[in-house]
Amino acid sequence: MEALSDLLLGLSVALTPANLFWCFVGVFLGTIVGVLPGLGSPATIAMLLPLTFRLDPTTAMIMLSGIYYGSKYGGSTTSILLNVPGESASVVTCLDGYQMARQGRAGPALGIAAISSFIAGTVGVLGLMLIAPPVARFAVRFGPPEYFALMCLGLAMVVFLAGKSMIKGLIATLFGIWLAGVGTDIFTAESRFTFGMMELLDGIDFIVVSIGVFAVAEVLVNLESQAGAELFKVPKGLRNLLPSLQDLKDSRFAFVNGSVVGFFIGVLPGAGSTIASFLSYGVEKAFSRHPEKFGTGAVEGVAAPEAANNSETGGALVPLLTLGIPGSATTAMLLAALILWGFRPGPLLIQENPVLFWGLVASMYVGNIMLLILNLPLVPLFAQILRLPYFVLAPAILGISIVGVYSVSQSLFDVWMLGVFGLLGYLMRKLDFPAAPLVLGLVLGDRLEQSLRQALMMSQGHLSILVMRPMSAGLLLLTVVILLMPVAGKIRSWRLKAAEEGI
Amino acid sequence: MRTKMREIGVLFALMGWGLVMPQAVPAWTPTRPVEAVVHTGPGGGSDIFARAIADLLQKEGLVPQRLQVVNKSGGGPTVAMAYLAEKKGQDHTIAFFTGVWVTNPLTRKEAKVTVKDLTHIARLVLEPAMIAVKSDSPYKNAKDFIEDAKKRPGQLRQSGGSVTGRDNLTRLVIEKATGAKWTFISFPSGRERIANLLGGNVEMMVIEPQEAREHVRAGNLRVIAALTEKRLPSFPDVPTTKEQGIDAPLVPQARGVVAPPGVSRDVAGYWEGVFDRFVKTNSWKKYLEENLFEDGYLKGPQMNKFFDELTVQMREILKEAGAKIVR
Amino acid sequence: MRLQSKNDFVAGLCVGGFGIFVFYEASGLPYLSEYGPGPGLLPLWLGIGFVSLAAVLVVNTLLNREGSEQVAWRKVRRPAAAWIGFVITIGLLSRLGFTLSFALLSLFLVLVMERRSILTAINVAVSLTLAFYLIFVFSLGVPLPLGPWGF
Repeated sequence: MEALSDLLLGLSVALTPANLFWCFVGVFLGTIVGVLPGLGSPATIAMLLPLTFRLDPTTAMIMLSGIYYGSKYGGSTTSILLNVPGESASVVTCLDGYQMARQGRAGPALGIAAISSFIAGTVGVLGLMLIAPPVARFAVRFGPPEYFALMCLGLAMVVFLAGKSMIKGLIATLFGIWLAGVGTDIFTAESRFTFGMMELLDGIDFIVVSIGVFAVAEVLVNLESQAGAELFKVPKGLRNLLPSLQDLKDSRFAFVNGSVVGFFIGVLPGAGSTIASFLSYGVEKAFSRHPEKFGTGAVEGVAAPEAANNSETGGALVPLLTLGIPGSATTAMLLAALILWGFRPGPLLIQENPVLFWGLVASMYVGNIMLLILNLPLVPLFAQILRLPYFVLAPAILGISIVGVYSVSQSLFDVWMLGVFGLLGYLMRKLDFPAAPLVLGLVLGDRLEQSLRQALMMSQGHLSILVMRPMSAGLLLLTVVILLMPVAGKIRSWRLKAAEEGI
Repeated sequence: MRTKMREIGVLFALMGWGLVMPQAVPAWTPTRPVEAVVHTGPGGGSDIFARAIADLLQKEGLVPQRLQVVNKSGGGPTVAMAYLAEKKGQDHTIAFFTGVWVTNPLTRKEAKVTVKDLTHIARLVLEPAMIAVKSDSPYKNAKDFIEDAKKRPGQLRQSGGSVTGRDNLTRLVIEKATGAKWTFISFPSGRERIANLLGGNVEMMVIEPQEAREHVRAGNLRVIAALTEKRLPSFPDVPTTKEQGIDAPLVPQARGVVAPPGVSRDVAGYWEGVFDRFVKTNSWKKYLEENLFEDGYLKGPQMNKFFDELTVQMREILKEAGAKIVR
Repeated sequence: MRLQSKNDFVAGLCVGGFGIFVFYEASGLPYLSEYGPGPGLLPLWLGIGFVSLAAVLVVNTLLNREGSEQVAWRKVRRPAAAWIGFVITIGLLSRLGFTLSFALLSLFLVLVMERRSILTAINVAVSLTLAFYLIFVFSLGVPLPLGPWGF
């Protein structure tokens, strides 16, 4: 098979001492970038770009990509331990991961995150290696109607995230969508809900909202009672600090689900790992035999989104390397890097630069292995953080939140927003409004509205375009099915009850 | 001992000469890293341009300190321009502007800072544009597209960026000149614009040569017109719009350097000198070639006329398109 | 659905009020534009959505008078104090810089909120601040607000 010989070529490149070293540097930096909230991979790659000019381009690409997929490993750490989303994609991991930590299962949570990241990362590379070109061609046919349908599907996930009160979940979602609309309307350059404030012209940053609503609110809730001493039980013994075999068994489906969903979402330019993690979480819960456990510490609730955001990196590299179209902010930086190094990213990149492509692919396998080896032993270490008394953790979390938010765009206004959303998050907790749908609405709202309007512009205002195209029609159908599921469930339980009470 | 004394004496004399002769010593040089403000986020057009220039300046040893790219995005260039205005008189800040710095204040109330308020340093490049369609499209040249657009007004689609960006303004001037009408769909990022063209969701787009080059080489896109005065050296077979009988004015896209208002003459002169030397270097010429830019070098004082003319032209086009002019 | 009557009632009213505000603002924006929805369309419908859902919420609280859980509003005092401290810290960021402001926040939380000894408070504040400085400012060069003394 041609791919095999190409892969061998790639391995010969990836396994040179220089490339191994820089691969390690990349994934190590990436892990740190992921662990620290706010410091994102696009900015880090931008900062390191000048340094890469002294390296061989293939080596530099290996290192920068290492930062990219390495950051997805680290993002789960603070999400699980402190309810602080380390990366925007790690928001979903907070839902079950943090709950697991509260139950003394921080170790298994971190471990499962690392393991599923590894599995999915590898699957992502496999996908990149084997099916990149046809998948890329499929991805460009994904236009506004399909994106709209995909966003609807994502929003239908609210059904699975709402928890107890559907009404409150819907209100939270709508609020998230509204937040997404604050800023400048791209089609007419009109400002919406900016109250004349220049800082709001670009909208409200997702990280600000998620850190405020998750991390800061959590600290406020925990401060209600004078905890002082440890809030979390951290069991001793290595066995309790790593995922059990049962955990691994439970996560079987999550590994597959996350990897597949993540990869395909990654291929779509502009979809993003946050959407991928929400979707795979929803899928996992939909097919789970015990959906009530989600949100209270289900291990699959950690495995699925973590897998998704890792295989998404493999997927995002597909359009970059096969078409020269970056799929996300980080891949846009990588594109810029490729151009600066003198490459010409485009459909002919792989053919003309097999060393670059296959060297990169091979190094990604190596990198994922390095990350697994790097992260797993760190799990017990990180879990020890929870042994710190809460009066140390509380200021630390608040400090990390400020740093995380400020490092995004050095805007004090964003930090003020953090305070506002922290308060909002606290009130929502007190009043039993779920936070996850708000974040979901915020992530999807922008693209939802944009795609709908773009689609209508494409069809001169005819809504029928949404159902006349096969892919969007299919996704919309799926959305309707998912929305009807709770209804179907209720009908089924009525029928069962009737059957019991009857004859 | 005496020779040493003589050496020291010569040294002191030279130093004294240096103090007395100001031209030998530059009046001002940066003493700490310089902020290079751009209005896009990391990975955006201006960001990449700024980073490339920062790197080249370093390579050529023209600036003793490094240039730190600072991303100030928001409302197009609004936030970046306001940030510059705040930095009035400060000397370790410059910024990279594009055409949208001129058009934005015309239509946006909140954009109180105009490009005339800022200190002009240099205009560096003019980015040419082309009209591209998918390679299996029935349009072999621009006339085909215009004819079809006339037959089916509003049904053909162009993907592009913001409604006040160059691609939409180009559409407006061509529509006015030819009487054709077609729809403009905004996509926030260049990648989506190209992806939608490749995917057949839109019929054409206005694209920069360096964006199009690879796709044309791979046979996915076809370029049917050059929106320039003369044919582009990188695409010698592509006729200009004028050659094809489309008598529409060209909407230029310029990139260059500005500094905050109120900066001293010494500082402005320093930067002007740096860029004056910069555009003569080989690395810059190479950069222009590789990126298919046109050399559009203008020195600070000459930029006033350019900005004035551009403002008038933009205001005309926008007004005719029905946009709300606020300035 | 478990509802906490009085609180949900108030929450419902707030959401409804917010919905009316959104509706009002959105009506000032163009509803339609060339070929499709304008910038005002979605917010308008969001406003309607808020008001409708709020109405359902309020009606539900009026129907289910036996509210199950009472929200312990007495416990709000401590988080409120902490939040005010947090906000003050944010306000100090531009004047004192991150390092000092954060040190003050840690002191406040340990001393006032958790009522530990002043020694513990200083210990925690100093070590945390040092850790933050070393990790974020020194090693990673993350840009943080600087105080008048350069750190």
